[in-house]
Amino acid sequence: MDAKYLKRIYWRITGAVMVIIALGLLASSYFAGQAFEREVIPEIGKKAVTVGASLRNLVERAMVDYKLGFESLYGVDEALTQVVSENAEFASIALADPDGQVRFKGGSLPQGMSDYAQAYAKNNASRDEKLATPSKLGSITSTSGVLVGGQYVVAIPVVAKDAATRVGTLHIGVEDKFVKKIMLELLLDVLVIFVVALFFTLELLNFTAGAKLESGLQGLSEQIDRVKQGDFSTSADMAKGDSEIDRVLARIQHAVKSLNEQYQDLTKALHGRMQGSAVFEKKRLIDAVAAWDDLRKNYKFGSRHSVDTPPAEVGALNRIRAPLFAFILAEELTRSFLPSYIKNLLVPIDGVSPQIIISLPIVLFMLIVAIGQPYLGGWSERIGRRRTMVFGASIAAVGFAATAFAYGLWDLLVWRSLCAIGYAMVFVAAQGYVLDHSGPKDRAKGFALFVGAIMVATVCGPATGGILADNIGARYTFLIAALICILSVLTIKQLPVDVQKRGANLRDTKVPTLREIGSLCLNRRFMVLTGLAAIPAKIVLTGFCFYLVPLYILSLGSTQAMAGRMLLVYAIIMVILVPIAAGFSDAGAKRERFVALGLIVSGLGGLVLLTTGNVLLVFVVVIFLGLGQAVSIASQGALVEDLCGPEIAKYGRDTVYGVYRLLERMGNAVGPLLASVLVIYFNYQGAFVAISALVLFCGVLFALATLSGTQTKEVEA
Amino acid sequence: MRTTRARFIIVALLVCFFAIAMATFLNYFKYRSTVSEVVKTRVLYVADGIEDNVSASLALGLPFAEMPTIQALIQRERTTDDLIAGIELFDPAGKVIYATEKTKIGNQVATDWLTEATQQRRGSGRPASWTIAQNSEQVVAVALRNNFDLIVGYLTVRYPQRYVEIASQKMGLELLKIAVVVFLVCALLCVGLLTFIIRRFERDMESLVETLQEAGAPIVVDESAELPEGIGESLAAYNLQVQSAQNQINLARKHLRAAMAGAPGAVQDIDPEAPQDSAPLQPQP
Repeated sequence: MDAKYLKRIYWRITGAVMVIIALGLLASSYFAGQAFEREVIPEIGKKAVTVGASLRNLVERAMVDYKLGFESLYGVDEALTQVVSENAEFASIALADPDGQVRFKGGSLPQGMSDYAQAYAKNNASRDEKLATPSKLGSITSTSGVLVGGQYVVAIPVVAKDAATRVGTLHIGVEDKFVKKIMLELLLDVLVIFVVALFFTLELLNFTAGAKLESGLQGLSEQIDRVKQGDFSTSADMAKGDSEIDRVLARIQHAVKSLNEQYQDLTKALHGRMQGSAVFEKKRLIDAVAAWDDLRKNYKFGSRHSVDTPPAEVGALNRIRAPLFAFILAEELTRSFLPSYIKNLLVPIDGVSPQIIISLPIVLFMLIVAIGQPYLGGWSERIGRRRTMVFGASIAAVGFAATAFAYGLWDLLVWRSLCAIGYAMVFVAAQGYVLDHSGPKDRAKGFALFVGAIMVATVCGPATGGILADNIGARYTFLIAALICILSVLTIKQLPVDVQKRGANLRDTKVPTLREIGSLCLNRRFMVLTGLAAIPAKIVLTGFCFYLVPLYILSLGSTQAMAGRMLLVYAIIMVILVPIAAGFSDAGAKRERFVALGLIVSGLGGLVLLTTGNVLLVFVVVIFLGLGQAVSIASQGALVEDLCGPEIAKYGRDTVYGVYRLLERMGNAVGPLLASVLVIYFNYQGAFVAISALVLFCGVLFALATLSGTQTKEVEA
Repeated sequence: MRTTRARFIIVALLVCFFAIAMATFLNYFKYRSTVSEVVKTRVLYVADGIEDNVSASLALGLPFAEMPTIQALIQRERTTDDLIAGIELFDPAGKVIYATEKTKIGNQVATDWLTEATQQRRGSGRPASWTIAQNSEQVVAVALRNNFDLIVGYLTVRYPQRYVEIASQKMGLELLKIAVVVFLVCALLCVGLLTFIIRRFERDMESLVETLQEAGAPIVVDESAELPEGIGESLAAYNLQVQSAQNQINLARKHLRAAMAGAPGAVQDIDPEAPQDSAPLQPQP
């Protein structure tokens, strides 16, 4: 009853909230659009007046100073066209004579312009003639413009300075599509907010009420199940809350307690009678003893020591989700704009390409996380998970805040290293926390919770960060990341204090030795999976998402918010498809095929940029990448066990997985570096294509290697 | 359950607030950046005109510091737009050569301007213009280059930052009003719709509580009660077990009482308050 029932409630509530939010966002966008049009058009009109005044000077010089007539003017159409092309807000410029006849034009004039120009000349003749100096222009020109055929037309009279004679009129058409284009861009951001709000809703529902409800329903369900199996034993943990579920549970627990007490009383009375009774008296008790014996055989009474995860522990496991989500969100917030931020800070270093310099802070971050994690795991065990997380998140908060004030590349490298150390510490400590607070029964649930928090943060972070960076600037967005990090510290402090309770099933984290790493790196089976699948998959992921996409999008003239949207699409594909692909993988389908297919799909994506490049094609690349990664990611991890059985037997599971993860994370570090080198030689498009070709090649090789391996196994079998 | 309902509604209101606040925040910054850009390009248009003139004079071989028309030109251009607070042209060392405020000629420009200009020159690519905020003014700067693409100086056009701020404040206020109204409507809808949806959940739980409250002992599941999916059957099985256990306890008690009936004084051994054969099991509230 509990899981499905609760999910139904969640989705109904989430659906209702999302409908209301969608309506709210639409209403807010509509009214904001109206306000924009009211305020932006006059501002553009003012610009039109300034531009018009400058153009007016040229016309005046030709027609008043040099006494040239309209017929003698040359190249005016070209000049007006150039002005239109240089100012995105302008759709057209027309120069009309004193009678309102359009003599020269640039851009596309709105329908009805000729009639309007003539009407204007007729109606405003006297006002124009009063104009003597350009500074008075603004005061007599309506900067709001008059709507003519879809353009707001601002009129600027051309008047001789000395005699106040009207020479003609400049009509500048402001594109109403300009405001609509701004609103469309805003709507895309609003759509991102909508998606982020959806995930926030689910996260907050779980954080505020869901976890408690779920554990409540789970407790109720377990209590009923125990009674159904004839177990009337009581536990010291009685429901104390004031929620409906707690009250139901309390009633059942008291009913069970009452039965238990009756049994205890009966047992006491019966034993009392039996002790010291004469034989004939004992005979009279035979029926009572038989009935008591039946009772004892059929039901379980007495007190129970919980073997399951106690309710407090269930709560403790759930409590890791909020701080982890907040912490990862802080880092993910920076993904979409970090490369462009580094680029803006860039001070050239002799002999090193700027492309490589841009990748350095990202590579360093990945490298620290990759190398640090195996060592920090053991360290967090010693000093405590909560302490490690507090320590790590505090270091990262300092790193984010300092990054916001970074002056150049060198100090940025230091600040990003702090963020990386913090990230590695929180990541391993949170992983350890899940292990510490879950039993074998609910470990998978614990890790689903861990991965879920990270995935939701990857959905919400980059897109929100891109929007923030575009609007308030990258430095302020780093400060916001620091604030979120501090918030995560506060929530981490709410976690239960560490207890040394590592059971027999948990051993100290073992760090692989260099010898073991070397041996595994020379092992064919291990390297087929790691070198041809795991590392290329990470190279393409970080090379594309953390380096190429944010920079290429900006080079195409798009925004950081657009880069964020791309990463959002990637994250959503992952959130939706990874569980489905994992289900297929676990259901016994051949995992090698999933991995090979994933690599090939990831590789094919980048090839669409072979001939041409635009924002839409980058979207296609990201979608292919998301599909490929989603298909292969779950199977890859599981394949270690499938393919490297002899190695696991020889070195141990922890060692083989440890080396696998280490090399996989090294791929994370190599990705941006390789991408930056490729950009130097082949530009952005070429880099996309080259990495894709590499991954495609690895995918095909992996397929051939594992297919031949499988066939050999089948023949042996 | 009221606390659960309140929690759900608070979450809904929080998320609504987040979404509408974020949208308003975006609208505000979009407006601000749009107006800033329009104003900047408006001022830049004037700067470009001056730059063209300087380039033409440089092409004629005139030294940057000795161009006779530039001072008059910048004075004239200054009057084309009331927004412009001042125009300055300075050499790469930061010495002002021409200025709309003549007292500034010969002075050194602010260090920030020169630092920014140097950084822009050293940076990758060659930006057409850049902006510096200084005190209450926004400064748009353009590098002036000769035919050999060498920088001979810089042109800056200043305008008051307050102009964009006032426009943004006005729009901000308007957007805030829109946001408040939209949020209030959304909040009302949230409370109404969620109360309606959560009511179903509450009814499920209430019927469960009523079932337990009314049943006495052993707990009897009211067949007509609308219990949440699955829990009705669970409770029926639960009920059967409790009833069966109670019956067996009662049977054992009955035998015990019967056995003790023949033994005087034995009754005291049993708790006088103990439930009788058919005594209901009293669940504690």
